[in-house]
Amino acid sequence: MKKILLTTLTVLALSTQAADFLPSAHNWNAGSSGDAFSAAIGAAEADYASALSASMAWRDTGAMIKEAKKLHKAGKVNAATALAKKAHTQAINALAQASVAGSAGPSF
Amino acid sequence: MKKTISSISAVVTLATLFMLPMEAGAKEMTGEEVTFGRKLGNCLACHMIPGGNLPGNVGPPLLAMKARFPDKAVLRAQIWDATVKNPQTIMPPFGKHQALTEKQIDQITDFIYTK
Amino acid sequence: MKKLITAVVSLGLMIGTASAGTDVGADIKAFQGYFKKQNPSVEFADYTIGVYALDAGSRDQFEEILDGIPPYEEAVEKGGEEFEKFGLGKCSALKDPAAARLAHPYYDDAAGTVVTLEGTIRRCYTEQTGKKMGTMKGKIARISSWISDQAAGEKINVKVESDGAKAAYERGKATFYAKRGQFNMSCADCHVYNAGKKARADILSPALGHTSHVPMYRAKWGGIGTLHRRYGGCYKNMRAKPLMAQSSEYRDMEFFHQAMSNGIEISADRYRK
Repeated sequence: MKKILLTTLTVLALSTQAADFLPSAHNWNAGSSGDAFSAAIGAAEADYASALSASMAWRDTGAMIKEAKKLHKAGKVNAATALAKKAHTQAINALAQASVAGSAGPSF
Repeated sequence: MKKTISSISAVVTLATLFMLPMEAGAKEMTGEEVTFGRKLGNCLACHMIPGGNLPGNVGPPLLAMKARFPDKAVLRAQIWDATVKNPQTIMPPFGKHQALTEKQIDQITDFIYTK
Repeated sequence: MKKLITAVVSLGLMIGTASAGTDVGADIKAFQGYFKKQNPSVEFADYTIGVYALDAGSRDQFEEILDGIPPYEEAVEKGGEEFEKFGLGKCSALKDPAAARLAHPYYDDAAGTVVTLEGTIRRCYTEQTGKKMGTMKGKIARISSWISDQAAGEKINVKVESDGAKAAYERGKATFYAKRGQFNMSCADCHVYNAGKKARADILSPALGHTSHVPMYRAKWGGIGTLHRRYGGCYKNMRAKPLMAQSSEYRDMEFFHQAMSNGIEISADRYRK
């Protein structure tokens, strides 16, 4: 009994340790939010590709997408989804810049 | 019974040991650290702020903030996205572009509001 | 008669709209006039030394470095040797190095692109050696510096004439003035509107005169780098993803950027902080 308790708690403590401490990272149930991740990463990748082709991508978006996939592979679905969403927001903001970049000119 | 107690205490010790480094890692930064940190607010890059070294002068000095921003929320909004008031501003929209977290923006607002 | 007038008027309107967007002469006048207004005591010719024209303290340091043996001297000499070694003088576009510096960047109507000095050097190098050359540092920067040295004292004189050239110039201009990256800043935000001001302890350099001394030696780099290397560095600082050096976007921007310095002397003093 003691052994089981110890093992369980050790595992628990270890997994807590390993997880990110983003506010959304407390759900350790990986299975249920798999679709949320796919949607977020898909949207991030699509808009990042558009920003790239407009030559207006941001510096870190690509790395964030990569990192989000890595987190997802490691089972940290919530942290992965949060990061994918952040990358998507970056791409959306980059595209907003791209939409006005063509007409940019001096203000003097 | 004695066994149970010792096992519980072992578990508690173990759990505590694992909790410790977490808390150390999440040690909270002060408003000053967030405001001055080069990888964070880096406000000194452009603004003179009392207590900060080597300030830039691209933006106005951050002085008498209470008088300049009677409504603190207006100051926070300015840090969050200065392009709302002036689309041409050089000031990065720290909140809108997620260069800082909402909490960090609160901390900076609080810190410079005392200047 | 009425028909004729209508025809003439509408023709005029058409011509008007075709060229209305681009008046390079007026742009240069406005751009250079802006710096004159901001820094009335700085002579136009002094912009060839860039940021050092705006700050007496750092100008002293700059002149001290030039009085000694500038840290790039050896590299530029080596660039001259490499120019010979690789037979770059055999390419008609580089036969007269001074003329080559003055002729670039230009718009190639047949190819429909802006051709930079580095672009010509790389093409010639491949023709002569069968090998490829980089775009940011090393050989390309040394050779380009040596070629530019031959034109020292001559004035930048970029010509924007054909419709294609004007379109490239307009694209480059938009790139220069567009806000980008997580920090939402344009090149102009620092190097036009805030030139001479301090970001921390660094004085922001004026865009007028930026291309007088390229490729430049930067203490930060510990070596010589091309203009496009610098563009990439600026993009990264704004947290924008840098484009490839010698990409069409950067070539278009260089076309505009160099044109804004028309009339500024080309300088061999390529030291910058």
